[in-house]
Amino acid sequence: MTDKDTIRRFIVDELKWTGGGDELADDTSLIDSGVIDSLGIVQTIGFLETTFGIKVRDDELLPRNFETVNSIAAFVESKRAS
Amino acid sequence: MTHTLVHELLQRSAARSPDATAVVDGDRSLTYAELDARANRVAHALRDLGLVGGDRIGLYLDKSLEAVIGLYGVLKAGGAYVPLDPGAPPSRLGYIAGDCGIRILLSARAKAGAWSELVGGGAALETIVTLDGESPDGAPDGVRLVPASALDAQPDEAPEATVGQDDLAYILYTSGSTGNPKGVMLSHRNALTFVDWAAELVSVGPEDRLSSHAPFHFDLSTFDLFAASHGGAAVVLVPQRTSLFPLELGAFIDDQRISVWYSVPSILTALALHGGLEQRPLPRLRVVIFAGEVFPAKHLRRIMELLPQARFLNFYGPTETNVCTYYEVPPLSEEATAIPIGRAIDGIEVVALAEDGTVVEAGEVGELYVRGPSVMRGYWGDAERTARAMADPFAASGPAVPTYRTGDLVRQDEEGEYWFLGRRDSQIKSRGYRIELGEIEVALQSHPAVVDCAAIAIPDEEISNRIAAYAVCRDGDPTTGHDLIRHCAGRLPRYMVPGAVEVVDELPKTSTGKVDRKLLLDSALQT
Repeated sequence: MTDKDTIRRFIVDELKWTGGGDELADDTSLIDSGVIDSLGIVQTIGFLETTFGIKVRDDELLPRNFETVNSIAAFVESKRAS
Repeated sequence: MTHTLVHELLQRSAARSPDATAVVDGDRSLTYAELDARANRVAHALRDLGLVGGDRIGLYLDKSLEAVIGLYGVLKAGGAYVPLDPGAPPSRLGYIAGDCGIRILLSARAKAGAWSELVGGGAALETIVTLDGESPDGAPDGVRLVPASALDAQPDEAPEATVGQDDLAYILYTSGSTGNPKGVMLSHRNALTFVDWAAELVSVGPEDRLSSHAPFHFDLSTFDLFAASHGGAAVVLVPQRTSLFPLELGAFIDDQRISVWYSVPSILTALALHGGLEQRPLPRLRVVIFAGEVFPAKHLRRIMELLPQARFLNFYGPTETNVCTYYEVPPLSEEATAIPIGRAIDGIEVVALAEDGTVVEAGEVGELYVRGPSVMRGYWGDAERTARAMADPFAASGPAVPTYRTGDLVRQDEEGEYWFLGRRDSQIKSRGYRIELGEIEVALQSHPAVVDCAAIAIPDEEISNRIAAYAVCRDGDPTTGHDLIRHCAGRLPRYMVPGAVEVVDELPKTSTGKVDRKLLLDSALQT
């Protein structure tokens, strides 16, 4: 399973993506669709830290790192590289 | 100065300082003159659509300039606005719209996709006004669409007032224990009792910029909007996405020069822990108000250290009374573990009663009753529930005073401050939202596989409570906890959806045959 698959599965299973019948695309805004809300962001950080063994710093808590499945995957990749 | 109708606050500020900024929404803003004129056009349009005094008008759009214009337009027309949570499942909103008989909806293009579901959920809509542009194609059958351009021809002057201070200004729906949300009816007098007091306490003035963090279906918003109008101040709409990222939120408060902030405590906790305020001290922020749930003392102490110039105010009160007590927080000692909800606001009486209806002494636990002009008119369409919640225990000994029985257990200390201790029923708070566990159970029960279920609240320091649920399914049924969570997500607002649902063979019962919630909670806390 790729990172994106893992992230997608987390969003569907744990953040309860319903999407009003729409598919969860890799470039769907998770913020505008409400799936990443104030509780969702906390869950997402916990998921990234346990699943990928990374540590999310306060200054990385930015929309560009959490906007879409693509941006979360890119963020994980950049953390691994550093 | 006293006022009798909420929108008079706007009209007076528009007359006094027409060019002052009234509302800021990202790059867009409105002056008081513009807001007043555009709200007047909406009011005339609503009258032309047949609105008569007391009609309920739905507001179904994201927080925006248009939403503020629409809200004031409804009030100026003599209607009562009903804010529909733009993020809630449309089926639930359809129930609300049907329940209080909404015929006219003020909405926006982005919401057009959900209009038909509202109708399917029970909304008997006749007209939908699109406040932000041309009406999209695809109106629900039999519904007339009115585009924003139709408002342009309406007069800028205020229509003649047709309502009085005891008429409804708005209805806010809150979670109901029997499975459906219930509509709390609030009059102009109810709103102004709180707003006049609060604007004076905080000394809101033309130099101020107030945050609008809470959504309009949450009663914290009445302070943001109406105290700003009261003082001729600007109200700055906080984008939902900004609130999610504490560092961005700190920058937003700084860049937008917010001077008065009002929100639930959890957002302030996030700001204290992750907002970068050590590097960005927010010197313009002079008042911080919080309400809706208990603020853990250690996080409150931290945000107070980071904002040493600001006053901190704890507001308390259910939607049925708006704010009824307050407490100005002094510097907190290291030992302080909690703060009181304080004492009654001006013009309101609060009293703690024992189960037999006698007033309890200071130091003893009682249930809090609120009496006075901020107490609601009742629950929409539910005389029985209204009578139960508003029975006046002092009716025999004096003139009738609107009274609300809160269900909150309190104790008064020797200084006269009240302390919140808990609930006498199964209502809970999570992230400042008020939730009836019974409403979650009804949603679970509506799944065909579920034969029995229970929802419980697990205490959590950051968000007050997390929600978990247990369900017993038909023998051999393959339904999983995830299936049930998704089922709930289609029926309940996100904040009410359980974080976990466990399918079990049976629920533990007490000797009287009731679900043993304490045992469920104990086992949840152990895992």
